[in-house]
Amino acid sequence: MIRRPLLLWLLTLLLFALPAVGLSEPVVDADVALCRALVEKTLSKEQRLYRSVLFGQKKAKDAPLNEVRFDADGIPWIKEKEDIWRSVSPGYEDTEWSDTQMNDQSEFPARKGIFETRRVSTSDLVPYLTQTYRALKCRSTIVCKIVENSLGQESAEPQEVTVTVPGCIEEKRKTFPGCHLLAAERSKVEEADLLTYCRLVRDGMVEREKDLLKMTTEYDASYRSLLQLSGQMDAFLQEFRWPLMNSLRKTAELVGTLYRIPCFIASCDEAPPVNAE
Amino acid sequence: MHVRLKIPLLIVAGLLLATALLARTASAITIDEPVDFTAVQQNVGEVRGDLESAQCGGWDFNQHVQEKIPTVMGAPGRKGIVMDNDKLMPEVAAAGLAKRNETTGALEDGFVFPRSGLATGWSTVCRVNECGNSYPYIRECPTEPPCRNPDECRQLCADLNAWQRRHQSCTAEEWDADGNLILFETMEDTSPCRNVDNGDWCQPGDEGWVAVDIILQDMFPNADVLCHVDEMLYCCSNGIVDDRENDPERNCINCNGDGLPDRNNPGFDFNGEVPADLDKTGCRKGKNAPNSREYVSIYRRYLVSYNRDAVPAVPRDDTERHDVPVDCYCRYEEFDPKLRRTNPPDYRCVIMLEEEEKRFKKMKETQLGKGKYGQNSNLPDPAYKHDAARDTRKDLWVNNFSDAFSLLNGKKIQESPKDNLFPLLQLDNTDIMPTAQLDQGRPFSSGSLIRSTDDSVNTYNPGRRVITEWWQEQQTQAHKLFTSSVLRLILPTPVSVGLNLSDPFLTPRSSSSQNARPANQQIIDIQIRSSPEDLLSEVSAYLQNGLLIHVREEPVPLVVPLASPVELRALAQGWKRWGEEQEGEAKTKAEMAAQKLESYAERIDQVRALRGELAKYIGRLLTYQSTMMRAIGEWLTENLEAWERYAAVRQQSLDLKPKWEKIQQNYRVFHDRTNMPWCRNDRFTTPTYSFLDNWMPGPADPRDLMLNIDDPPANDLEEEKLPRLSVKMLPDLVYDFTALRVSTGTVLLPILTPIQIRLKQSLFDPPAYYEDLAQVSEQLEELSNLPDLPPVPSIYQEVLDTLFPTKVLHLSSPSKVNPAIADLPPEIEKVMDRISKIITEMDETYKEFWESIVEYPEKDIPDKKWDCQNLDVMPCIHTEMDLLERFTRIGARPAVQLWEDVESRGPLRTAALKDATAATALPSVNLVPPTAVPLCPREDWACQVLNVEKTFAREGWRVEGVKEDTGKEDLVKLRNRLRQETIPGNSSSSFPYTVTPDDMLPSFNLPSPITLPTTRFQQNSASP
Repeated sequence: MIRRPLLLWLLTLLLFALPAVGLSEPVVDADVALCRALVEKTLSKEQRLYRSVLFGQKKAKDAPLNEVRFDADGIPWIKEKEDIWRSVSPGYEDTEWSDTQMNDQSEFPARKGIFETRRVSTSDLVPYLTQTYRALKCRSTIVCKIVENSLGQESAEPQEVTVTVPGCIEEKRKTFPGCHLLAAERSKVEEADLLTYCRLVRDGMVEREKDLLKMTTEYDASYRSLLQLSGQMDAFLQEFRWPLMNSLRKTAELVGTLYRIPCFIASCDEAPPVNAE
Repeated sequence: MHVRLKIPLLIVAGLLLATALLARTASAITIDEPVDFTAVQQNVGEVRGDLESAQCGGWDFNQHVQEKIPTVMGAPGRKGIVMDNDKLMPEVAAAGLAKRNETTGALEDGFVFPRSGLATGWSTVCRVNECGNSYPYIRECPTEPPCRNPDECRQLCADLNAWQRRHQSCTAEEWDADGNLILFETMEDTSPCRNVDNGDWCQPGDEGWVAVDIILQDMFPNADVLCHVDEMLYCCSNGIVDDRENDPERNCINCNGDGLPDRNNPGFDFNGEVPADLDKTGCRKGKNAPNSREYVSIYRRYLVSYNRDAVPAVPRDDTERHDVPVDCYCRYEEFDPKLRRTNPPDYRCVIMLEEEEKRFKKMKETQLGKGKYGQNSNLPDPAYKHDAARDTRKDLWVNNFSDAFSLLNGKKIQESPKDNLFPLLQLDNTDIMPTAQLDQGRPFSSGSLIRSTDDSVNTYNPGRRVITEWWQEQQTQAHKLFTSSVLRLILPTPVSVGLNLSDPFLTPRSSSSQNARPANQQIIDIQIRSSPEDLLSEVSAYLQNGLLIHVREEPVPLVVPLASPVELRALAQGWKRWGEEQEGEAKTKAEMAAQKLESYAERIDQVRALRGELAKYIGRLLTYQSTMMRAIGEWLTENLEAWERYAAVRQQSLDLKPKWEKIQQNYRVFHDRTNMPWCRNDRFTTPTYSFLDNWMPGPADPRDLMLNIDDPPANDLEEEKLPRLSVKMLPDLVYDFTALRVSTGTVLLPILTPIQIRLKQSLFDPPAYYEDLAQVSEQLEELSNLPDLPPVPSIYQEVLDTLFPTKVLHLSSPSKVNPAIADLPPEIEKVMDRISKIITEMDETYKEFWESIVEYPEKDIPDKKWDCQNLDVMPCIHTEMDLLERFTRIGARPAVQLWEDVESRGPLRTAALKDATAATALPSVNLVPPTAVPLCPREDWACQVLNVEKTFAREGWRVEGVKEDTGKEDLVKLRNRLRQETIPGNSSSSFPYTVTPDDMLPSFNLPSPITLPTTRFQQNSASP
């Protein structure tokens, strides 16, 4: 995977360094595979954003060992030890980041997730959850629309376009240079394939996230109800255990004592008579 | 004998004797467990009713015992001394029976004999079969009494006096015609004994005796025979016969009174009469006959009277009898029953209750009456401890009215926040405490300490009561036999086992907690009396469940190549095919490529070996479990044997239980029925030693009243010893698991989760046959630079070495039950048989006595009812030597406790335990070795002793389970290592996966544990 800044630099260099080559068109480094990769990357980022909104993102130092995070450039980092984050990306194999660096470079800031809200019932959370889901749908659709727009671009620079998706806020986004296929050699089939691909991936992801959200909400609702119940149960036990248990115990003792009505024959050590006389 | 058993915890100030008489059935009231307060009230009412209907008992401390012990006149025997200067003598208080007077009397041994008028009878000097011809009287004790009833005796006496001899002294004189004496012969002779009534001669052949005058006359027919002495003499006494009815020196004369000269009063007997002036002779000591023989009484009649003061609590108290005739047969023999055993021949007196008004039939009704039994007590009821004084300003419940209940404090309710249910949820903590018997200072009533007593009380050992002490000691020993030992299961503190006892449901907070440690840190000491069969299996089940190792899977991701070996081999084949077409360098390169692909194919096969990794180390976990199971099993097996021994010995003991219950039952019957023909109190009467015969073991002559009571008990079976049980209690069983620590940590089980990633197939495609080297050189170059497939990583050795604990069980087993438990000695059963025999015979002895007083007179026997048919045959069963004591017993006061009764008591057991001086007053405490450990003074107590509790140093199993956090670091290292080894680098010489390393890395993400929110009452964290 090639990083965008580098690509841009390269392009710029090409643009400036080889004007005399006579390439009337700037060299666009775009092809189908690249565009696909871009699609995947962007969509996965959307998914990660959505997940972080739902479940929250901890600070780097609170993250458990072996957690993988992405930085702003989309490079994955794994927490190898306390305060040490590593990557396997080319050029970063030997780099170590500390927790603060990870925090600064993280693609999303640390936040508290919706499901982490306490003292509310799940029903109160549902509007926010649905809104998040809708946001996911919108944003993932926007990504595919951007790709669509990018396909018709010729320049090597990302262009700003206004994306309108029914039901979502109008957004101004930059196109993906890697998908400017108009200038590159391609066929119509590949173009259509790209669009289909984006849509398929997006639909699949959204569908899956929808089902997961449903399940998660169900679980959350049942757990919160359990908490409420157990809270009451605990309060009950806490308040009642001492009088209840004590009174029960004392009653049992008392009944036992009463049962031993004293006998008035001179000695009360007798076993019952062998034959009733 | 009045033996009463005391058990320390009599609940009521236990002076109440609700005795059942023969007329009613003896049954304790039965009370069912109350289900509500109404039932409690009903039960109390039943108890009250039962007390009301009691016939005797209770106390009257305004009355004293003086003058209420019967004074008996007209019977021989010894009196008892009770008071000294109006106070109870200490030795009488200790013993419970009077001190026998052994200083007065003619012989200064305490024995007194009634005076003339009260003691009458017949005395004779004749001996049985004196004539040799079965005359003058045939029967003699001990085989048969000479006469069997007063009339017979009178007749016998009259008949005896018929035996006379003729004493003649005659002279034969003859004169001639001158009046000169020519013959003068004297002859004197006494005839042999002859019965003048019927002409029987004493000896056969005596008939031939001829009277002297006849002989003389026959010898000198012409002489004048003159007898100047021609008298009849009584045969046995040589007294002159004058008036057969009244002569003072007949064969058989009346006797009256004592007759034995008093040492301290010369010339008089102890009753103040002159022996020589007694009418004919004294019954105790007869005068001498002319032939120096002594008159011995063969029949005596005593007219016995007794009287005493009445006890006011008994309205119809029958306090006296006058002139009860007692006939004693056989020759008078004086002896002291204390010094020798009485034998059947000594039972020779009949208490003649022929006259109705002298009988004791009505005593059952007349002696009814009970004193106070606490029904009007003004003691507060019952005694609570008032530590919790309620403060109306602070406490929710206040009890300013009484102790029984408390009311809600209205002010507090108002003050409490409205939405807080706390006040209403807070129930009142009424403390229920055991009640004192009397009051706070006297938790136990001293009424429970009144001493039992028995007829073995004697002046040689003042204060000792052998039979009582023996019986109470046997009770304690029998308790040791039948008390099952305690099984102690000592479990470790809850924290070490993983139980969180601070959870309020498991450990209610007790307001009077004596332990300073929090609940989590207290050792649990469970005492179980469960049946042995189930317990061991329960213990082992607990152990098995508790010792399971917790296992948690930890995924360890790694990247493995995914390819089909078949396909790779096909590709290699393709390269070979192309290589065949080429030559030189191209060929070798093609070969290399093919080889490389082949090696890849082999390596891929090895990926499958990864599956076996898990199996290699997971087996180790099973080894741990099996080690523990085996240890538990071995321990179980070892203990099972000991367990079975224990159970067997216990069963032997329990087999003896019905026998012991029967013995106790016999004793109860003796105490409540046999010795209680009517309501009576034997305390402070005189000990009657003839009642000890013949059930008390020991030598006959001299009598030993102490026997082996102070020797160490040894299951004695000898005839001359008291059978004393010596029982060793089964030891307590202790299973000490305090050192047990089950694993609180979890074993981390790494599970390989391979991430299979495809190889870049495009790189391996062989070229078409027409392509030449130049076209594929790049590809070849790349191929040749390809590294080998990374070796399949193996982690099992690392896991076994670092992640798993190496030792799970620390084998120091908990203490085993000592298998050397001795069998129950067979002597125990035999001793019990002997005890049973003693108690049964004791019962029979007293029963016979009372039968002769109460039941026999009422029987309808037309003929010879009051005859002494034979010695020791009803009604001829009383000894003569303690008639006075017997009548003291008969006339004893009714069963209401008086002031001095309570003074006859022993110390509380707690006092004896704590106070050395109190303890030394008890003889059994000073015995070496002690008769009971722990201390249970047999003078007053029968106890149920328990084994001494021991606390051991910690020993037992320790399961070195997995500590928390074991293996976490190693796991992290393992993960990192595998990640670094299997994610390829970014260079072109790194492995040709289809996916870049950047894309592989997210798969190594481990989800973090989710912390679920909790309530404010508990800390809860769920693991993933």
